[in-house]
Amino acid sequence: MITITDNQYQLANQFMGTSNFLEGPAGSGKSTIASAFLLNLLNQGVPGDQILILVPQRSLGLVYQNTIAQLDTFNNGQPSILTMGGIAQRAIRLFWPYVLEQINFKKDIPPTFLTMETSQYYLAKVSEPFFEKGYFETIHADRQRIYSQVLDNLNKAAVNGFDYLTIADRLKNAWAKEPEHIIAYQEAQDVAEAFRTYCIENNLLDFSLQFEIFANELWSIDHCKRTLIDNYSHLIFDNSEETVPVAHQIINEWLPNFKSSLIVYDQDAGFRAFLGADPISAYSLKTKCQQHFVVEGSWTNSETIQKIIPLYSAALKYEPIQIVEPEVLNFIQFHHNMYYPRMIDMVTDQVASLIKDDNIPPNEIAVLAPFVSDALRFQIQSRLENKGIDLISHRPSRSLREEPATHVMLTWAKIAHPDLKIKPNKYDIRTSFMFSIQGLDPLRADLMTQVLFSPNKKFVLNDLDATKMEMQNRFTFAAGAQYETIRQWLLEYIKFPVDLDIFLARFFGEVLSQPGFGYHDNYQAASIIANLVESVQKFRKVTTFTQQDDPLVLTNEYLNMIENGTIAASYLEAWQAPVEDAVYLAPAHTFLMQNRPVQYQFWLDIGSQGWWQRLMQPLTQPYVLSKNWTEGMKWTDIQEFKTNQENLTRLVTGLLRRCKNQVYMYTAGYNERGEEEKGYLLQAVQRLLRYKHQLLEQETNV
Amino acid sequence: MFKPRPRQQEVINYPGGKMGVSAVPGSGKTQTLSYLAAKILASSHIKDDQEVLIVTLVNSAVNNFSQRIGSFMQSFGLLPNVGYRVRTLHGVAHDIVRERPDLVGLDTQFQIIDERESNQILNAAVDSWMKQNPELIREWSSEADQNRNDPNFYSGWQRSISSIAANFIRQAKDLQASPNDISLRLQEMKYQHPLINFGITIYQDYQRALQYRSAVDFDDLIRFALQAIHIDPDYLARLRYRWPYILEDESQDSSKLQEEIIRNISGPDGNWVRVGDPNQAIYETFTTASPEFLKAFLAEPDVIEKALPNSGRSSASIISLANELIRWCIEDHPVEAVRNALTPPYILPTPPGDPQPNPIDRPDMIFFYDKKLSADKEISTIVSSLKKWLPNNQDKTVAVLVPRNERGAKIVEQLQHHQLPYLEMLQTSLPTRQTAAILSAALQFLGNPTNTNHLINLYDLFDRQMNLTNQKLRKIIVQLLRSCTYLEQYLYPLPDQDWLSSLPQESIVEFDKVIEALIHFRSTLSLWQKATELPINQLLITIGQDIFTKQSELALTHKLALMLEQANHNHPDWMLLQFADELELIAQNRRKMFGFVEEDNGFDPEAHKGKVVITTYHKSKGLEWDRVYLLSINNYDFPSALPGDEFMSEKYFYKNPINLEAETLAKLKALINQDIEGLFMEEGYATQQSRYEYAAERIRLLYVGITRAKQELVLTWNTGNTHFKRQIPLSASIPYKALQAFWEETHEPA
Repeated sequence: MITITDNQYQLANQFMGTSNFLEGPAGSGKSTIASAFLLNLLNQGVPGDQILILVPQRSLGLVYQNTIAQLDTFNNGQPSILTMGGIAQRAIRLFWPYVLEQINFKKDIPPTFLTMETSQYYLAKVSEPFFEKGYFETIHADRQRIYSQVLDNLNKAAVNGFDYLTIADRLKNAWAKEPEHIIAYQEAQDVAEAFRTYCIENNLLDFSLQFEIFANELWSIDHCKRTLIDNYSHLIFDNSEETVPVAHQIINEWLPNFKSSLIVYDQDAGFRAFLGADPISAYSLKTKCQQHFVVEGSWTNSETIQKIIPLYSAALKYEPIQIVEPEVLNFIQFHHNMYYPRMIDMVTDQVASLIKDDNIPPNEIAVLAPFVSDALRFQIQSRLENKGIDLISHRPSRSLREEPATHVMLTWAKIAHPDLKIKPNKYDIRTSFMFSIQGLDPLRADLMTQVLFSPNKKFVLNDLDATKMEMQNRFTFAAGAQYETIRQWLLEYIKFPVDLDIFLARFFGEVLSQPGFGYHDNYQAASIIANLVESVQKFRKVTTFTQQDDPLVLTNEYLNMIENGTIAASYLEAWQAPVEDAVYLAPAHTFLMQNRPVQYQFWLDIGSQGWWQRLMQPLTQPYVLSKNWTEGMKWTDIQEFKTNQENLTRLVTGLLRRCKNQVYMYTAGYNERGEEEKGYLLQAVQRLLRYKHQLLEQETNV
Repeated sequence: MFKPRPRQQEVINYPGGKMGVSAVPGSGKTQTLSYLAAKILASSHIKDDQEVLIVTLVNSAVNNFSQRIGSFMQSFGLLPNVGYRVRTLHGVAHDIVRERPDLVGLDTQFQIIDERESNQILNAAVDSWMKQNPELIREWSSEADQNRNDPNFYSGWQRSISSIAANFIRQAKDLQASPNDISLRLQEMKYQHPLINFGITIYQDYQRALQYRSAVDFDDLIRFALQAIHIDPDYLARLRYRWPYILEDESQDSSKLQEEIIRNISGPDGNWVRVGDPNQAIYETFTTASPEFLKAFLAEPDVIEKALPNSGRSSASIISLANELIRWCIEDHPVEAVRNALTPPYILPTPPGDPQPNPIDRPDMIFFYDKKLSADKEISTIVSSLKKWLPNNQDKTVAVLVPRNERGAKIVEQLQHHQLPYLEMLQTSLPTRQTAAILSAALQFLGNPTNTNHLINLYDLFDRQMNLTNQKLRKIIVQLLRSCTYLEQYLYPLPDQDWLSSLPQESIVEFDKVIEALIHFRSTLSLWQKATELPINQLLITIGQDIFTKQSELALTHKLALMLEQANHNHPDWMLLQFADELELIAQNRRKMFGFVEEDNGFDPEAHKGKVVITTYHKSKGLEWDRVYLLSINNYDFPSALPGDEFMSEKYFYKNPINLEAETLAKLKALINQDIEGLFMEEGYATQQSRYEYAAERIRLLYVGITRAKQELVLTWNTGNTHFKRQIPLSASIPYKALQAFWEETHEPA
């Protein structure tokens, strides 16, 4: 439940009928004021559907969703909470005939909007001949990473408003001395161009193309622009600093047309720079606004934290540290351990003590690290589980591919489609038996696999009757009977195969969810399988044009895509524990983007370079591919160092502003891989500790 | 507290700039260098964002340095662990590349593959090449072997070819040449050679496999580090600022590239101290490492030259043997070309009143064992000597040095058999291997749960690890498990099929304890079996958390979990048994893995008095023991480049008596350096050169061995494995004979 003070309401009242720019640090109540403005608008009878709430990513619209959820009436229609990408997609759907006039898409088929996954799927197809020609031999990266960088470059060009044909030149010209792998930029360019051509030939719209069509084509057509403008009369644009330049440009033109508007700007932020966010161009919107407001102070931080923020900032910038009371420095608590798992023990013990001894709600605790490896996540999760504490993470611990239920279903799919010649191995079979036949233990499942699985046959499951009675007795006759039911069902199915999603739904519904089978009354598995079916359906929708009527083509493509990892990254959200009861574990950057203050933060392995270093990728560079990059500039270590220092300062400030009580910091002698690291965050903390030491010494001497 | 002797003090008084120090074995160079580092840190020469960089040769020296510097800093009233960084050269290179991977076409998450993975890639490439080129193998084989078709012959060639390919790639990377560069050079020089073509093919395949994995190998790290600092001078400037002082130990083993990296970071006016001993250069074969670089550095006009000639480590007798080896080598070595293997300075004992004086001389404790012994007999002789010596010398330290890991493993077996306390420092430490062994056994069982042998193996390790029962009960339980026909009736009993309840109580000793242990084991296994649905890294951690309590074991489990996660990424089709095999390689000492125990991270012989330490000559460097056994000093392990000496690299099945590897690498080098004379040098020249180099390096290795001993020294040799066909019995090596003669002349027989 959001609480709004009188002062905040009064401030929000001033926004009516004019354009406003509201800035302030994180935690100063900006989004709350914006919510007050939203309520004001609705209270004054503005129809809800005339209000546009623009956010950089969906999760940042949550605060408004909650506000809206509290209301009884919206004066005809709900306010729209959208990202600029969402607006682009809507516009393209609406004005498709106009798009066809501008771009050489096929006239007779509708547009297909690609997701990240399906873009990668098509890009993989397009780039195959390039790999065969020996492309990308000068860099060390696996194909998945190459795909994501090629797409990333296209997106960067689109959101920053430069021609995608210039990507490689920009990247090449930024080097002061040519590195050996410079040729790879041109190779990435060739692939990107081939992909764009393929998309246009087949009416496929990836994110970059959607954005470009909207910004370059539709927005310049009067009729289209007018329709959009007429749709909304009030704007709330939150976290404008996390949004991309082209969005700023559009808002810049759109702004005079709103009856009232509020642009919210978070100082010291811009954490999505690697995704193209541009705080500088966001700030330029200020000059377009009639009224400017600054909010200061913090609703989140204690006084101590507010005092400590500038100290960190000074330590990171190598500036003199201003004198404060030594007790403020007590805030800096750090624990050192030689070994990484021991560090995890200490973190989880401290978390448990806060929850159990001090009654701190689990959702007031965030455990943060520069990267969260699967192993780290699992270690924390299992330790907390033992203490009866739930943990949620920025993503669940398993991808769709790794979920046992998915695995089992896809194994059955392989067996059910012997013509595809994708054979499961004996472990897949054993696992599938174990999960599919109720009460079957791993040993008996293994026995069954040994006698009933023939990998060399076309249909790999043997007839139960051919098995000796003694063996049937060992794995139990009951299990044997269930096996035979499954086998018979599959043999029937093979005669008339259908699309993969239909197979999955039918096999689950008619067999595995029935009494005596493994997924009877198992709602969790049912929900996972429902997700799997949905994933196949989505895939089917975007790929229908490439297939003939043969359902095997879809099954084959989907299974291959799963096997080679293209959709490994899809994670399910349905079974995440509710945020209310759980400790949150995430990479520090992800936590910042959640914009959710907590009482206690745990910073893990502060010696890691990951706190400081940006994500480096051989085919892309976020700063060179940004709007602020001018031709002729060179990117050398001076810029690299400066940017990393600024980013670290921003990160630390951002984290501290989202902390209400205390930060616990941890260092490990050896990191996860057994290496020693002494990164810049650790150095800055040392500087502060040394300063504290000096202050204490001075005090003792006095 | 460390009290430097005068010559050490001269080094500590280092005024800045470049300084080269030649140090004899036992001269206290680690101590001196550590003290110097602490002294620099105590002065105000280092800002709080700068570090003294200490570069050393091997991982085991890193902790040793760190701890010593830390304790000196504490004695100066400073915070330990702040302001310095100790790294191997590969560690420095990794730091450089990891901070700016973009400069060399890598991403943040690049992987470094270890020797095992690298060999795996290489072997796959070699295999496919051999299948495609059988005619070349025949052509290169001796006449007697040309028509052989047996697996031994094939696998002999396979090993040979793999080794040539590995060294070809290493040499090419050291010369900074890509496969493409080599091909271009071939065209330019209008030169063709089947071995070079072979090398290029394998090199190309190998690099492709690395790229596909987003990975680099150790040699790439060095090459890339140098590339990175060349490409971005601003980055170099930042590194120069960060490390205003570089102290380099064991610099006699630096390669050209390694020296170039440090020279660049240090800069023209930098502060760079290099300490080394050309007589201890033992890592040169098929690398560009050479003590010549250190010698050349010492001769540079702006380098202050210092020496640490006094050694307090060894007794007068041992020093006399070491010095005699130098003298004999320079003056009397029968092969002229090997005479520069060792050079002065000779070792001087410490001056009177020295804070670290030499031990009392015990010439009666120097033994040249002159009987002809077979390889096995040599080991049993050493073991029986230790059996007599150990009980009376519980307060002393002792080591057995062997030329190769396999030989060490055989000694370990014998020591185990005779129940003598021992500690090994071979490829991978014992605790690390044990951790890997139990995890591997667990995965093996989970992969194949109906296999009784896997279950028993796991039980045995599990029981020992958890101290579940005693040796007697363990034996009983193992026998019981062996008698269980249907494992499912033990692990997942049904009401009418329950093995445990069918066991005859009256005929089993301590029945309750046995049942308790079996139930405990069963319930643990059941949990693990549930966990098999987890990704491999999580499964391993789950198992580790159930069985390990020591932090070093848990940290290693975490590291192994990441290793398997990576393996899974590279081999998505792998199943539990393949992951188990990976761990098994570590357990069996066939894959190097640094764990977190002392043996991995810096070894203090003094902490292991009364135990036999088994290690290689190479690994013994930097260490010292009261008594040292030097094994296998024959003309195979320590050849002298004389006719009749056996050389490991000259295989009997080669067409000509040549070292194919040396010949290939010499051509590669000549090609890259555009050295026409070298390119067309007749076959056999490179073989001869490599014999000289190898003989020289082995003399230095012997010198290292001798200078490990404080008071007592036993030297033996063996005639080899005489049951191998074609093998002529080996003889004592020439330097062994020379030293023995010297000893007998100067001393009464013991």
